[in-house]
Amino acid sequence: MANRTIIKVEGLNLFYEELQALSNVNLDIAEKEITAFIGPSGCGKTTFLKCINRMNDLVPGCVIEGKISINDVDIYGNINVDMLRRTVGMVFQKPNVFPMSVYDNIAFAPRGHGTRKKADLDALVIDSLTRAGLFQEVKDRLHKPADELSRGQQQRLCIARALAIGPEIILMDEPTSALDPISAEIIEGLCRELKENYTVLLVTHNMQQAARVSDKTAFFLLGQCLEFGETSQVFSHPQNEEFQKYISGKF
Amino acid sequence: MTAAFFSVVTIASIFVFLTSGSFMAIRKIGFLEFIFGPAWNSNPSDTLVGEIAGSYGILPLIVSTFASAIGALIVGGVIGFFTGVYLARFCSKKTSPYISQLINLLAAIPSIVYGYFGMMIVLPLLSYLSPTGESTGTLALSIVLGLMIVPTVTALTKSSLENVDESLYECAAALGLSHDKAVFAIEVPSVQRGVMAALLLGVGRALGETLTSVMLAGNKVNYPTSLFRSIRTIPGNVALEIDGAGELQLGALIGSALVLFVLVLVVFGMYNIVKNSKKKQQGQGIFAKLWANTVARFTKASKVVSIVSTGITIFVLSSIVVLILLNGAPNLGRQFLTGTYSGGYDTIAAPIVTTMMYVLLTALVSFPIGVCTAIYLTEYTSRQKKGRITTLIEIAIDTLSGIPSVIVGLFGVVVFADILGIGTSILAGCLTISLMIIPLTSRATQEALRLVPESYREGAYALGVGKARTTFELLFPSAIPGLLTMVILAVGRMLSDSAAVMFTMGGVLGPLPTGYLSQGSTLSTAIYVLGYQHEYYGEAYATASILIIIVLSLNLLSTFILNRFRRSSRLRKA
Ligand SMILES: Nc1ncnc2c1ncn2[C@@H]1O[C@H](COP(=O)(O)OP(=O)(O)OP(=O)(O)O)[C@@H](O)[C@H]1O
Ligand SMILES: [Mg+2]
Repeated sequence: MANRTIIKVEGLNLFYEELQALSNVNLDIAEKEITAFIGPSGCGKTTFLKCINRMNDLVPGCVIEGKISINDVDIYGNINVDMLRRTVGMVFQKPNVFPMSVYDNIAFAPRGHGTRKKADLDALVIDSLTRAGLFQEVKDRLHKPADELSRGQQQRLCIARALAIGPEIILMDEPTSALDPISAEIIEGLCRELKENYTVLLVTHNMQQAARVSDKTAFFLLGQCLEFGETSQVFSHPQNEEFQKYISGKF
Repeated sequence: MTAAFFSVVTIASIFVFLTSGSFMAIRKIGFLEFIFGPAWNSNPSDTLVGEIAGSYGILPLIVSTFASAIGALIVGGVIGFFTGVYLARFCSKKTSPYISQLINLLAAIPSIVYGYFGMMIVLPLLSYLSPTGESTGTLALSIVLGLMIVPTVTALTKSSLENVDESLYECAAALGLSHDKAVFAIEVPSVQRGVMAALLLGVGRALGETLTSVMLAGNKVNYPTSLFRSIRTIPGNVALEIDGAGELQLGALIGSALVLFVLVLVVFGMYNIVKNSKKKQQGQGIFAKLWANTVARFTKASKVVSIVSTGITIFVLSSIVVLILLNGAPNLGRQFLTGTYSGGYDTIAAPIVTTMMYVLLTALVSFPIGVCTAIYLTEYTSRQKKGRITTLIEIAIDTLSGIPSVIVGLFGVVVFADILGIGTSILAGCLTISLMIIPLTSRATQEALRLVPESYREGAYALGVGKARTTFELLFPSAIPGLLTMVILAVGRMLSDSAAVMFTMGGVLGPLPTGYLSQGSTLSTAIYVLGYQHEYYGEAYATASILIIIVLSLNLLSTFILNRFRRSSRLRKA
């Protein structure tokens, strides 16, 4: 069964000043699947991810060509960027909790988006924390500063925070690279659960991780997408020569 | 957005004011006669038409201003520089922070206090040395202005030495150079630019000192042909003659302020060039050669000089505080602090109230504008390509924060008090001083916002939280310690200002102010009025003591806040 395409990328080029960081990327990303992005450092994975929620708008001198549509809406057309970012949540490589309580970290964005009633917020906070698999661990310290949590817990809090704004798509940029193996494993498991309801784009440096959790895999090199397909297919029958070298560790 | 342009508008209007206000007068006097004329002998009845009875040449003023600034540079530059070297490289790691802290505290003492100290202590001491017994003049002024800039020079020298790449020292040590040699022959030359920048900043400040100059220079219009000859500086001249100035006289005063403005701009321009120049110029220029042949050769002696300088710095600066407090304490009675005014000068209740009213209103006017400018600059522009507008605003802010108080004061008294019809009053003072406080708050707020980790912004924007909410509800709370420091810094600056306050508030000591349209004195100007104008020395000492105590406690408070914050954030990370 092939899931419906939710993100369609066509002829994407991206420049930071002179440097071309992405060249002619074309991808169809399916709904409610995990798509992994792998490739050597500096190949443009983070850059690609940030195109999808337009975080690159914040980078001075960044120019984007081509088309990205989500649910058939051109996201570089005339849309509200804040609304886009509520549809596309993002989790960063390093946990970046805000300097407030666990509760407020999650409630901060929804409050701004119009959820004001305490009961609604309470429910939302509990729901998001539960989905992120964190509720049991922090239920007694919801009102303690969030930076007292462990790194792994902080990262899951960031995931909960992203879930609380009700996204359809979640971008994860190496969410486990700053964590210990146990926390990493928890987050991997979490990704698998999340795909029931969300489309997940996962950047990782860990090929085993990509092979373990993802449905599709895309391989980037020097800003180009050289290989893209079903994860099992891609790893067992790699088409691209460079990709073969990469997975056999000859890079 | 509108707030951001404030500084640009201000700086432009000050410039327009200075040029247009002096144009007619200078034309009447004759440009060359004005700049190169050898005598200043004003006559208030001179107007823009008809015969001129006085003479309006400002060359002696220019030369005197320069001479005292250079003198200050020699005194303060040398002492400050060697103290900075000592603290960064010779002092034990344990004591160095305490001494630096002390010197920073002393930097916060208002210049009027230094001036009064000079008048009461330095002048009598110097009169033993002077052949004529007259001690006012270039030497006295240079010494006191020099002491004033010591803390700045020390701090900047120290920090630039501390930022030297460690490998440089290791390299020198590996070549078998002694510690002294490594420091003076290798490390110090590599921070040339930092030291130059520090010195220029000091000169910029010394050029604009006003009431200090009135108290110490002697005020006769002369060329500084001897160290003890009475001189008059440009700012001093403005302060002495602004009251009751005639039409032509006022124009000429504004013209002299324009000359000062240009001088200061040149100095700050050089400062910016030196600070930002990327190219390392080592071993070039006469200074470097001079250095290589003197200090770098005799490193043992240089080390001794460093130790001695540090001793002098600590001793002199702390004795200023101690002497003022000792002399002031006996006068700090109840009548003095809260008594009712009865025609004499035995109470400063009015300046105390005036100061409070003034600080309050100035803060209300300048903080919002300064903070908005900073938000505009950090949160709404720098992310996009740094545009011309941003650069323009930043240049305006930098220039505005460097303009001497005397110029802004002159602008305030003519524009706010006369043209807008507010009259010399507390209100005019608040508006005028705000012009100087706004760039300061805006710079400090920018710093505070820049220290907020970028990841907070990223996190919030990625959640689709809008810019305004991110700024006000996430970034601001995170920047609170920085903002508090900003407030304390700004209040300290308000308390310190003397020249602009003097001009715009009228500098009278009278009954309690009845409102913002009353005239008055702040604590700073009260020192001048009591001590210099009316020779109520004990009372002036007492006022200076109060001011010192307030400023020092503000400073300690801000250090305390910062330390506390640092500690708590470290604890949380661990
Ligand atoms: N803000 C920026 N300004 C200029 N160049 C940038 C910027 N961000 C990234 N680049 C450049 O774009 C290229 C792609 O960077 P990107 O961060 O997307 O790589 P990546 O695949 O995520 O690498 P890593 O695996 O190390 O995170 C790199 O050459 C990088 O130097
Ligand atoms: Mg990356």
